[in-house]
Amino acid sequence: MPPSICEVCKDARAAVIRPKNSQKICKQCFLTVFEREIHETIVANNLFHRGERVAIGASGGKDSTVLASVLKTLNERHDYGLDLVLLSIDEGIKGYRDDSLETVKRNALQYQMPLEIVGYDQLYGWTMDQVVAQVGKKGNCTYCGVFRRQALDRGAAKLGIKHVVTGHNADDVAETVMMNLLRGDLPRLARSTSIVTSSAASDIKRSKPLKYAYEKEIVLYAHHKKLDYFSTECIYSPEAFRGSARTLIKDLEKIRPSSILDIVKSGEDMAALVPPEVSGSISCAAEAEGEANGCGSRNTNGDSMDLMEKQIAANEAAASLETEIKLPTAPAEPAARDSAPVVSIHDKKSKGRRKGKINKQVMGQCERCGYMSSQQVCKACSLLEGLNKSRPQTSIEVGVEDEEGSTTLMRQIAGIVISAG
Amino acid sequence: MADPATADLCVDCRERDATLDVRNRRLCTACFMRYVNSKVLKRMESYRYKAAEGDEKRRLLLPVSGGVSSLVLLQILDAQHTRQLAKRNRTAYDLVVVRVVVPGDEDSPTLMGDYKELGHRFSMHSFHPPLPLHEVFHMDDHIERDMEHVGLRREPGETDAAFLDRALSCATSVTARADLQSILQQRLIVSVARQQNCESVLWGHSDSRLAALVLADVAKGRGGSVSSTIADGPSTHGINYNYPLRELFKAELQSYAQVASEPLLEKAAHSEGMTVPLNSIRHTSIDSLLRTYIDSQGEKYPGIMANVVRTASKLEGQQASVFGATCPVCVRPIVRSEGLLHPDSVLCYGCDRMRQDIKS
Repeated sequence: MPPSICEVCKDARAAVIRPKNSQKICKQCFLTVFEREIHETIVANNLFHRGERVAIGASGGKDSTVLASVLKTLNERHDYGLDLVLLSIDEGIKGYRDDSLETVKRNALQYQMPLEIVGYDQLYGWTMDQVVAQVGKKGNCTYCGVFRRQALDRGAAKLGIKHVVTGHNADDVAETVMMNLLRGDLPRLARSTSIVTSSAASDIKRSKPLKYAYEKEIVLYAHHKKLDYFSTECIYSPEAFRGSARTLIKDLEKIRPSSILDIVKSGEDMAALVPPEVSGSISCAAEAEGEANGCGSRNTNGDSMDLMEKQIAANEAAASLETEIKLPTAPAEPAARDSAPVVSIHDKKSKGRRKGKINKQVMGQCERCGYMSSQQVCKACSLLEGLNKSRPQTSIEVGVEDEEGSTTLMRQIAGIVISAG
Repeated sequence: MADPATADLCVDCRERDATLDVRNRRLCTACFMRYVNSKVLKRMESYRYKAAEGDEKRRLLLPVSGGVSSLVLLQILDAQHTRQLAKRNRTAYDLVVVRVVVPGDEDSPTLMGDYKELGHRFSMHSFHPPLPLHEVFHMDDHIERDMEHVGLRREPGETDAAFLDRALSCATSVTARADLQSILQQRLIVSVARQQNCESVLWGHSDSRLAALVLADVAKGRGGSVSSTIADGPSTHGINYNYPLRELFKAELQSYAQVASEPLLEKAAHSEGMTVPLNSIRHTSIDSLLRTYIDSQGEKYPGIMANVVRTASKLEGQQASVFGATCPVCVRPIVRSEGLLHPDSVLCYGCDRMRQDIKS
């Protein structure tokens, strides 16, 4: 069979079958078209403005490495005028993150970008290895997800940067759409597809320039560009919902490669249909983002499919026994109990499936660490409180009963050191 | 702990021995059947007796596929009619039953006989003669014009049957073929409903089937219209849609068919039990992949799979601000959301996607 000729330039030999549309094209045309599509995404969404300082959330993996490389290329080619910085989170996972951070350090040299590393141990007093030793392998992704979200924001704040870009690709977004459908999580369904998530409560904006890029094309790009990236997956296994959604997405892609973008499109359309009283919590993106962070979930009751299945069954059993008792008059206004005006409280978590009641999230600040939160105490601080309670008493901070969470976090943040890579 | 003698009593009647596990509750056969019936009849409450005597009686169309779900629905509604006749000497509505014969069905030697038997058994209702799918080109006035949007045009002198064969063979993927066929089938059923003066179509989709439909629609880029597709009430076809089995799992309908002492149901349950294993994934349609996914995951996580339907139903299907128009091919609302993936077409994204897989 004669070698096929590139369908784009009709000149060079085709070396790549594009996973996205099965086009046979040559290596150079592939690199060009891949970069051009990301440029188009950036321009169409007005992602950047001239002179902006942008932190690239860099893990050393393929997605963020390709993102850094493409952004550097495009920044020079199209003169975006961006000041690009690499921002890495050190979760403290031996045999995974320490090695991948070495990759990021090399990337910093290769792309001549400054590098900032923020560690969980500095911020929270716990590495992920310690968390796993404490809570076990199940559910630890919750901790990691919650911690990372804050860590990226804090790292950016430290650098005085207001925009963090992440390497979430089309596969991640599609996976998240399916996962949130399975989990029944409408607020996250509403925001997980948007390319930019910013929050009224945080001045740090997040965006995902690779939102329409196929994971397979990212791998191809990294391969043909000979990029230096780290390919080991996190040693702690993904959470069940995401795992199930991931398998499904891969099967769908085999049947019809366009499925991934088709799901992204479905996700965008469904997001537009999420009722405003539910998506009203959209502004808390900063708190609840990380929706597609590639591994864990942060939803406590979404951690395990088994757990959720049990809850649904229990609700249903309860509903079948339920006799509705209505109060003769409207319930009295709940007494104003919040002393701090910026803090809003969920008075009641509605249990079961009461129709028409939606928990609306209102942003305030965590009373312990000052991070934005819809709760009195932010997720990270409440997770920390649980961790610290069971930590052996040899640790330094324990003792100041009520404020241990806040003091730990405050002190660690104050003492954070910038390492320049 | 419970006394061993009472350990396996039905939790509802506390009289008879429990024989079935239903959503973590042990029920006896009688209570289980009451449970299934009440779930369906609750969904049929909007079709009660009309207030005024002189009003024309409601007519509802019930398409059957030969599968268990639609037969269970027919059996339950038939029993309701029998009770209504005994009580008031008239029924609240009339049922019109129809069977669409899809390609592949034609070879079935028992189809005609089965359908006749069904009409015999449920003789209180009017049975429309079985309709081959190509009748859609005869009964739907706009279908030919609308099919041109996906590049399908009838050739001079081409019969309905030949046009259908050619149209389906133009689909280059199994998914596009299944998609096209289900659109044609839906349009045919709506046309029959109109012709028969039916105000509603009663679909036999179980909760599990609806969940698979939701996920498949999402996977085919039809997520924007999914909430209106699965909603009870007025549809964009200008006729009501109802899913009376929406609260029952497929497995529950299977159990019901086995215990209902109805030979026709037993027979259907038996033949449905022998499912054909999926052939290679490349020759599977997205719809059947997701049916398999829901069935396999549903064994372990029935509640989660059921939750998919509840979640999708919470999307606002009628939010006028984001809806542009109705797609001329699938007749579902088109959502124009933010994002970069808009087809340059009068079609919805899903139909535009299908069009790309149709080579005429």
